[in-house]
Amino acid sequence: MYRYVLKRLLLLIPIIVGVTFIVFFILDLTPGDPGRLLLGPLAPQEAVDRKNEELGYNNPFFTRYLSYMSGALRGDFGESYRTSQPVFSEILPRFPTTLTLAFLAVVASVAIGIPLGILSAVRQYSKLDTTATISAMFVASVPDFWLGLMLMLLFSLKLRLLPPDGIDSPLGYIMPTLALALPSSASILRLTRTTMLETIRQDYIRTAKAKGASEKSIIWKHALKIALLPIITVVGSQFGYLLGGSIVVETVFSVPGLGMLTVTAIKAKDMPQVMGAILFLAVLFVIIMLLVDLLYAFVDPRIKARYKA
Amino acid sequence: MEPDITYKKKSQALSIWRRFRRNRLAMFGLVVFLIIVLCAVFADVLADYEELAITQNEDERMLPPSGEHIFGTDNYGRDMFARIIHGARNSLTIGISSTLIALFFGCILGGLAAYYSGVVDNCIMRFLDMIACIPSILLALTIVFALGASLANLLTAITIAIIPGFTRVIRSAMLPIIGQEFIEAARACGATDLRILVRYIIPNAIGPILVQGTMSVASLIMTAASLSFIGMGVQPPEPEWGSMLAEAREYIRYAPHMVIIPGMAIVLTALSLNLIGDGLRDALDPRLKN
Repeated sequence: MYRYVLKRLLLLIPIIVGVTFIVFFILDLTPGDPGRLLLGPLAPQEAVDRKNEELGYNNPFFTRYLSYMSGALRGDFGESYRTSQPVFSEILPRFPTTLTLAFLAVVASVAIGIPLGILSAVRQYSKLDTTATISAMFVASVPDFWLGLMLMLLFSLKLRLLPPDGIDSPLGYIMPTLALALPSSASILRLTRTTMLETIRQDYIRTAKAKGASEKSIIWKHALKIALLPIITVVGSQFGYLLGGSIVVETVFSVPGLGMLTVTAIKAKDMPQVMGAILFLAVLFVIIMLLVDLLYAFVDPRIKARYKA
Repeated sequence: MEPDITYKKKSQALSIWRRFRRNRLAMFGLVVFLIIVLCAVFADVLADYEELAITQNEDERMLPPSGEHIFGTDNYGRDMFARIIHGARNSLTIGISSTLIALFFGCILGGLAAYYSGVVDNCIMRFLDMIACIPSILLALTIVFALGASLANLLTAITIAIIPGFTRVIRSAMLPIIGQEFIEAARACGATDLRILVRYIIPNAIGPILVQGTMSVASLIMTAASLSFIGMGVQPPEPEWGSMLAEAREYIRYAPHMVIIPGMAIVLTALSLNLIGDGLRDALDPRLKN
């Protein structure tokens, strides 16, 4: 087990290097140089050139990547063009908000998706199953930001129950969480249903039935344990999807998180901030996927056994 | 030999269609999708682009749906119905063409990986795994930002963002086929690798590829709308469902129809495609149905 964890942790290094390299490479394609962006269209060319030289813009691509990454490792992501504040100090306070939102959304989508998926599988072709499957299909076709707008219309403007934007009170988290969670709960529901259906047709379940184990204990103890394994992986990738989705949903509800920061920075063409925010989100996703894999190994005795020797 | 082969092919397509037709939800999806496609194709006939979808009309701002404007008007007094059907052109173009392009590259990369296995497979798949480590909407956003917001760049960005997923699906659909004897037979007859890929492997792996393709059109339409919503896609005044929603957001208090209708268009399109994809999956392989 220890060896497996170590191996996965070491694997994290090339992945993070690769991911940051890809992001850096893509953003490097952006036309325009930082000197011109910083000093404005009216600044004399010599001043722009001097600024570019000062920022290291004229260095070769790899040199710039290396110096950026060595700074990033020390928490130095450069200064925002817009606010002249260090990018890192702008990202850090917004980071917990986005993480909370994504976490709440994952919890909510699991709480909705897994029980409904199990019920659908156990009562296959029942009214409940048909309703759940069709509504899952419907919800999966609803874009999260529009769902957010519809929730806002209903709960803030018509019923006046929830604040339309911001997270000044904890109530502000409800709608963004739902907007993110519902579409992803639909895919968790569908997956839970399929894996549960596969699992309850296995021989060992029939054995348990033959032994006279109660329906309840078969479903919750024997079947769920196995069926949960693929679900864990999907929940992990949903987490990443939710981090991406938070970019748009945070904009809808004016939630001051990393997503909204990214969008603001993009609109202002504030390159250091865009780079910092996107790298942060991408690396966060990589780390979450790693944690999910480790959790998977912890739950699945087959992986544990492989690394015992 | 020749008539036999065509006969068999025809009967297979027919039996798939028969199974598909029995699925009422899938047929509903197909009908809805065809209506949307027809609206997009004949958008110019149904409503003049310049006059109704672009020209601003100060006297008719934010009118709720009525007999004259069945979807109401927007904050510039433009007819929402005209903008929705012209927007359908953009959304469908993005969804369908980026899926086709991604399928093309996915077939090449997936085919190479599956067919040559070993080092080639490892190189392609590890590189794509790396790209897949970035959530796709984030990757698409990064690319659009770097290239500049426009319809063409949005299309490029979401195409690149889905190629890794496509390649994986296509590769795993092709792997079991490559191991079969008729591929070896074709090779023994001297067929080139390209011919084997195009004539034998792709047709036999077409099922999962078709299903993935249909569903991805739906999800790409949603992704494109999300990116346009945050201003990173189709630029106003060009009508697009996502950017229409972005404009409407400010007026949600006064003109809720401006927010409701473009979203309904997205949901209806995505839902119809998902229903078709689901029905297609069941029709292609009835054993998979639970």
